[in-house]
Amino acid sequence: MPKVMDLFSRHPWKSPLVAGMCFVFLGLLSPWTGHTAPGAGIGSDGSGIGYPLVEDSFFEEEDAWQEEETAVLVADPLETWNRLVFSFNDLFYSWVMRPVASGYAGVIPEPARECVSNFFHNLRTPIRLANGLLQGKIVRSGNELSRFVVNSTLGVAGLWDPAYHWLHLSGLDEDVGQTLGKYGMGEGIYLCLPFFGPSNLRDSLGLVGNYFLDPVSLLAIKYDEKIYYSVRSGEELNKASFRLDEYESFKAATFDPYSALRDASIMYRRQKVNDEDYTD
Amino acid sequence: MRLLKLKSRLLLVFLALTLVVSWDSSLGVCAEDPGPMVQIRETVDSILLLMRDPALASPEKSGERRTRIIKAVDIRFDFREMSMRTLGKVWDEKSEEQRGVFQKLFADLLKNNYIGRIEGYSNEEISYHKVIMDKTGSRAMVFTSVIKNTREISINYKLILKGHDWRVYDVEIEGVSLVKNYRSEFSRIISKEDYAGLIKRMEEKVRLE
Repeated sequence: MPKVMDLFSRHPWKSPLVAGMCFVFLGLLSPWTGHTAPGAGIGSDGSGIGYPLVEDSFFEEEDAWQEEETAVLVADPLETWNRLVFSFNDLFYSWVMRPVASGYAGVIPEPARECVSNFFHNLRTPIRLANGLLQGKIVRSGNELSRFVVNSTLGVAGLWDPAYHWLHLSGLDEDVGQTLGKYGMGEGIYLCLPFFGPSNLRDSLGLVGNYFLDPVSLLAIKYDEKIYYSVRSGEELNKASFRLDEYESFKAATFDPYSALRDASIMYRRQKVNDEDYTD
Repeated sequence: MRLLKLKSRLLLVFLALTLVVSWDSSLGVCAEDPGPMVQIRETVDSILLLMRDPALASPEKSGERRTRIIKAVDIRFDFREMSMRTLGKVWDEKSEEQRGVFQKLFADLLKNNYIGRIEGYSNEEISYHKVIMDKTGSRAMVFTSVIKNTREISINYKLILKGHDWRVYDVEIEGVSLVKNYRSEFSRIISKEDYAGLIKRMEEKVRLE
């Protein structure tokens, strides 16, 4: 196991933290569509067409629309630097990630790509399970564990998702950043990370935690960092192949993609931290 | 005699009861009808129907399909309310004519960018979870989600009651509010380039499509 400091020092470009990258970048890049696990967010009780609940608190901020001055969502003192990183990510996506992912999507049929994505999702159960438990989401964590057992066996090492399709079991989408937020840690300043994309101080710290809960990281810790990077790149490539035009349409719909992405990602993460679990 | 009295009394009670019950149920219908969730569902279903219609699937029919989708959207979405909430204070300062120009541009911008995108979702199942309302009963939020590639994406609609119709004034996708996002985008542009600059940039964007 490498020392924590190794993540930052020595060869920053070889360190798992920095180079682990191509990776989460895309997921964070498109908060408009998100990448939640099944059932994350609101209660999955589909019957809910009954009498509406009365909850004024949801509309409080609506009333302020007239008085509110330019709403600053998050402090961004490093804006100049962040914009530079954003441009780099933008170029990297447009010139490397997108063409490669679109070629890959042309060759590999969607069901096969879905199996790849299912496999990695299943493998990452420890991250979601640990953080679900830390946040006291007992029922959902139980579902997550059942999903892991069912999908690892009946779903052939997680390649398929019978837990969802047959048993309608949906799991969690939790990570260390959300747990830190739930425990009261503030977001700190906004950060645009190379490859990882939009983040903030708290979530960046969370990424380090995720790395140590991620079974895929064992490849770097026990074997070779090169294998780890290849696997992670492959995984992110596969992920990107499902969302080929999303970033482009996001850019087309916004005037200043940098700040629009910053605001959207902050709102997206806040919702993830504050999501109520109706089953517990 | 006494029996008769009892009978008539029973009849009265019975009558009163039926009255109360029917009154209550008619009230119930009033309160529920049409309901924000039912109305959102109608709109979403009508759009899905258009997208799945094989008669409209050919490329030469795509224009017609788009016009019909836009018509369905216009019934449910209140672009005036959206524009108002997006511009905030600036809206109050503008003349009715200027508001109309802005509203048209904003509506076109949203339609151009989002109608193309929902086409990828035509085969997905949509779940309707719950409705919440504010105390006055004039605003509601409908919680829905769509499953795409086994990932659940939450889409929540905020609606305002206009007459008998619930009209959408904001959409939250995965917690990201459309109105909030555009509000900060627009206010940044206005502070740098003034209102005229914003209109110019919106015109350019809409023309690009």
